[in-house]
Amino acid sequence: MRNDKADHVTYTDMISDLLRCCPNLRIYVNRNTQSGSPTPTPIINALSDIAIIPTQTYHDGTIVTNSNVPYCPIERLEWSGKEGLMVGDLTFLLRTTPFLRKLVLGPTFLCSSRLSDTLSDPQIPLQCLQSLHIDLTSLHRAYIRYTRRWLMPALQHLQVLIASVPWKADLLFLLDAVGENLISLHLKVPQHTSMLNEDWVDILLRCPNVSFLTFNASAMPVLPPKVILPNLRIVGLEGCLPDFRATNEYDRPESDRREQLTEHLTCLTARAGTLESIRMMDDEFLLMSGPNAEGFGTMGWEVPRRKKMTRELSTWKDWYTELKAAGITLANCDGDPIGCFK
Amino acid sequence: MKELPVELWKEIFERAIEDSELLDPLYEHYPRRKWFRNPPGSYSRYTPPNIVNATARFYDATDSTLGDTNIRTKLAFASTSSQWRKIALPYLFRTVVFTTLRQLELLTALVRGSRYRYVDGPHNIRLLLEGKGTGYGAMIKRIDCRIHCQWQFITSVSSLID
Repeated sequence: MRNDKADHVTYTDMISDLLRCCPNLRIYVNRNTQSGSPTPTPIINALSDIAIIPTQTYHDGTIVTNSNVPYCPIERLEWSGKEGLMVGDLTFLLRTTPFLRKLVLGPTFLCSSRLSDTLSDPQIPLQCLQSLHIDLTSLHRAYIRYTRRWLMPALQHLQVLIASVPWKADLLFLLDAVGENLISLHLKVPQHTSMLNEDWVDILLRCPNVSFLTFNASAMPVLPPKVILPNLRIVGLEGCLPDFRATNEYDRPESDRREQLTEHLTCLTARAGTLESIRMMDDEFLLMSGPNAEGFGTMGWEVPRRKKMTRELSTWKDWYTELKAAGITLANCDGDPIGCFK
Repeated sequence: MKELPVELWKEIFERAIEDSELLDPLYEHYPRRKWFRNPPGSYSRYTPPNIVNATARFYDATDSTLGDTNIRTKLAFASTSSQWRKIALPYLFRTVVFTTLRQLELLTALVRGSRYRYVDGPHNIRLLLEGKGTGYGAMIKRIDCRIHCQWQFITSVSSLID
């Protein structure tokens, strides 16, 4: 039977070998569940080696290589599992992937060990990066300090996961740099994480051009009326189930949650001039689409819950009517209108 | 069948396989429960028995069961005929997902060995004999690595035995 170390070496060797055979790799996703160890350096090196020097062929058949512009096909890098990544490795990798369009960085990141992280390359140009996901729930997030060096002029979508760990300074600093250009902002907040109204205002003031905003309706205050977001067209609400049931024993009473959502919807209705759609991001709202509203989609549920769901439909009907009068569509997470309320 | 142009076959394969969104670098996957989409436009947690194999499919495009279905479809295309094999090979290899070290081991060996068997474009026996073919690795566009704590598990088992 192989031991831990031997398996890890095998894994490293095999992945590196595989990557060396994939010159056209565009997307690398790491969702390994092995926690506590960083991605081995040979894998990082193999990823950074995926670069093709573009050639130009002239009429007489001569082929000229333009070595000044290395072409790396990698467009997406993702570390969303539990495997860590050395900050130095990340920096090194970002330097070699100039065409990166999406970067997803999960919770487990380890501190830097490379001298180059602190001394050289003050700026890392990420000219093509359009989408960035970062996780501020971990204390081991040394990489966030290095985002100060990242130049992201094309960044349009930012997804941030925040929780009880202090996050404000890091997030506001990042938004100071990229907030102006953001079109889509997704604040993921776990249940029972409170956010002050002032923090919410600070965040939104830094993203004046956002048109798609997603946040947790049960954990966050209502959208501050004093913040004008002239381009806001779509709001996604997370954290509210169609029948308002508790997700755990610490959850508030149903009436509170219903009332809180009413506050959110009322506040959003006031933005009727620009707002076009409210999306309920919880996938259970799929059950309220079309024929499901009549109970077909709840087949298999226990009877009391199915009856409760049917009762709550009247609440949703009232909201739907109010929003419709204001010209706002109530939609599910896919953007399809919840069309059951006729 | 032979008279259908390759482009048309590619379009048909693409629609049958249904994993092209995974090749979009900006594609966002929302982790979801296993909802079934029942045509037209309705959803349920449990699939009606009459559509288990025919029309129901997992809504979650990256769900492992759908992945299994995809790989079966791709393998079926690739093993139908030599003509289909040529067309279907890029679909077979463009997205690779592995959850165990064994899968990774097999895939790496296959890709490495294919330098002697596969060259992109016109057949070139000289390159193949020299092991300089592009191999199947040139077709891989996405690698999804989801290995589940295998070495930790093995260690814990071996420590129990000791």
